[in-house]
Amino acid sequence: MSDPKRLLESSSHAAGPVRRALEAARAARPVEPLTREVWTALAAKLPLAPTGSGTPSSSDPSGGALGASSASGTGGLIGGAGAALGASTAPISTAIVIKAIGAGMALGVLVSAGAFAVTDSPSSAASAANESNSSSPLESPALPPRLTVPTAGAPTQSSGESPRSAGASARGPAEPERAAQAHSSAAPATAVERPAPQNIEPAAAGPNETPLPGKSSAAFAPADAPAAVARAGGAGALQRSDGSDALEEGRLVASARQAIRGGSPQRGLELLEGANRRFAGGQLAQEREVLLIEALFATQRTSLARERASQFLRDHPESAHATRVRAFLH
Amino acid sequence: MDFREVYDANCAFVWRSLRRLGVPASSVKDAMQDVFLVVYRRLPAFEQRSQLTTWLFRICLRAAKDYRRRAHIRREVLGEVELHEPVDQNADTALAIEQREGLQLFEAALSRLDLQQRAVFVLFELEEMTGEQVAEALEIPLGTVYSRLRLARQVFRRAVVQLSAASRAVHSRSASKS
Repeated sequence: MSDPKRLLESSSHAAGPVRRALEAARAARPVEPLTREVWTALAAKLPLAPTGSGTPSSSDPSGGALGASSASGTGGLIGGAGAALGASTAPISTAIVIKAIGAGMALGVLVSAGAFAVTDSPSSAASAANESNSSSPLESPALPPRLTVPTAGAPTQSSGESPRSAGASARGPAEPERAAQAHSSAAPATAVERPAPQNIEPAAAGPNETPLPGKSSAAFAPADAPAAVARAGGAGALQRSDGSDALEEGRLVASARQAIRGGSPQRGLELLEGANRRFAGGQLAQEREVLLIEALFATQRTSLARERASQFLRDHPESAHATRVRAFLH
Repeated sequence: MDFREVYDANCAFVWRSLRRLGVPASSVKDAMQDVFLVVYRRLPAFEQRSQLTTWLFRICLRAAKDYRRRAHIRREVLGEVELHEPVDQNADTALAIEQREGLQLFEAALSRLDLQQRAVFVLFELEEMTGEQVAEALEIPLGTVYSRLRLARQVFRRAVVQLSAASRAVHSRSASKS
């Protein structure tokens, strides 16, 4: 069998409009900042040099901290322990603000898994394409808030942590206003210093995972009682009866996403904490959890982030977010 | 193979693959991150038994499937249907307008294809892969590549004709009104 002629080959008989459409598609290029922004975002999650030939830091308001990291000369190496992660000080996409709102509206609807089912999914075990989760409906189960913080000076990631459950869900429904105030005042303090590469290796991650100072620390304050979680969940359940709460939840999640990907992961964490507290078990529980994992990585709480990522995959192996979450584990 | 080199050399490929596979502009950055996170993780194990681009495209296809699953409700809610941004929104030249219209036509026609057809169509027609390479990229038999390509072309051509006719009708109506 030989290949047919391509439609754009000069000898093909493709009609004018077909040719025009294909030529336009072939000429399409990504807009200039995009490659930089994606690289910067990756650098926030991986031990990469955030700046370089294709990623000038001129657009990066936190270029100083990033520059310190890239000066190490090892940031671009691959193949090291996948756990080593950089800080998220880089601005990235802001075009997705309303996405979470849409998702919030959308998650109330059961999605058919077969709506976009594809029958020829590559299935080779060796294939790198097998990262994706299997097809499944979007789920919107209540994901219990589980903000935990390792103790300072933990010698290893696995054994040195003393997870504590979050204040997020345990402090009750009276907190949102205070949280919102905290969010509005927390922005200036959200810069995260990127540590030297040796400090982001897993074995050295402990010192980076000390509790957050100030409000942040309060945000991750220990909350011991599952009953408190249940109470907060109950309040959230009551609030969910109002459709406007779903929108509000979406807005909060969108703001958190924007903060995290705009270089303020600490603020993102606080926003998520507020959302978790206010909408415990809300419709965007998965979305919140994924963002929270991302923010934890970005603020160097790598072992905690991994722990939550693992838990997320155990709880939601079929989630549409599974691919992204899985990527944090390696 | 250095991750940075892979990124620099293939960022545009990943972008256009995702876009052509239906990932909208508002999600393409996230999708690109997902793809390159997988690439980062898997690159050391990539044995170069296949072409890098075919391997990348498989990852893009997976990412696109994820996004389609998550995004189709968003599209319904937000009317998020575009595939490509105009190439240069500031260049208001005749060429840019023509390019934009061509892209819109392409996007609209491509949206009539299912994901399997899209994958074959864009790899063969736009990435200029051979049938064998497409088969390898999608891990399907060569005969399936050809049959999907044939179907995709039919659907695409028909859509372009319909959309062009509709566009002409709209233009003529607006011209007659003015």
